[in-house]
Amino acid sequence: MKRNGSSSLFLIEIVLVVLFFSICSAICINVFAISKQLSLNSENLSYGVMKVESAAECYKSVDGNLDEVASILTGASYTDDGDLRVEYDANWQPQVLSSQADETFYVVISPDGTGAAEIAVYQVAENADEDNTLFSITVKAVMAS
Amino acid sequence: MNGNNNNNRKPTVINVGGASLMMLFAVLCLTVFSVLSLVYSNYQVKLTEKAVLATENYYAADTSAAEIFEALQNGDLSEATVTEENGITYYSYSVTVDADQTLDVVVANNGGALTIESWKVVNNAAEVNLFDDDAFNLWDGN
Repeated sequence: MKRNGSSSLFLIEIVLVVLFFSICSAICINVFAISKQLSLNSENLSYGVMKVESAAECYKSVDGNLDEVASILTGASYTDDGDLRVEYDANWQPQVLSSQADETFYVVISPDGTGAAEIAVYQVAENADEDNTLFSITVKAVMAS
Repeated sequence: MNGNNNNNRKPTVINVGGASLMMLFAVLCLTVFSVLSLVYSNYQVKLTEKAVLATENYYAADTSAAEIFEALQNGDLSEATVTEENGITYYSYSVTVDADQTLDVVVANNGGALTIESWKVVNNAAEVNLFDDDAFNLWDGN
């Protein structure tokens, strides 16, 4: 009797331990996942800002000449609208050959014809919706007379 | 005999043994590390947002400065301060980057051709001279 009583107590304890542990671990793992996603988003934003800055300084250094920008930036290609586009994979390496399967981010330089250009970095949407704009600036080339 | 069993019967209580202690320890570790990772990720997000804001402010000021330079090239001197030195005319102007920084530009007009002499971000925050005796409120023993 006593042995059966102690066994049932241990069983109850184990059941409660497992129940409580499963609830707490589910919450903690959720927190881990959220922090991982936050970290990934901020990392992508940081890289995006760096790529846009690089493109902006390149654009300013050649006085807004898109052909020279295309020759400097690795993997740059023209779009149908006359903009310059540089594609990057998930590790922010430039894509030399355009491949929709690998492209995750891309930077677009859109000149407005007055020497200024909008430079933006986008993240390709997974569900073929409108791509997400990570960061965007407007730069103007200074053309010394 | 049955009566004795009824008198000696104790109420069922929840037993706290080794398994419970180990579970408490594991949950404590999980909680601490999850909170730590969340705090660090939050810090990374805030740092990135500051960098984004700083970059946006700089390029907005840079674009404004470029537009003023273009206006100077077209003969519009309303945004610049004109000075003359050694026969060369200098145009100076500043564009605010943020609360503590300005983009200061100096352009030289040497025979009609404008050249950029200086294009730099200057920090205008109040300076603290670390070598002043009153720079830090240190206890002197009194």
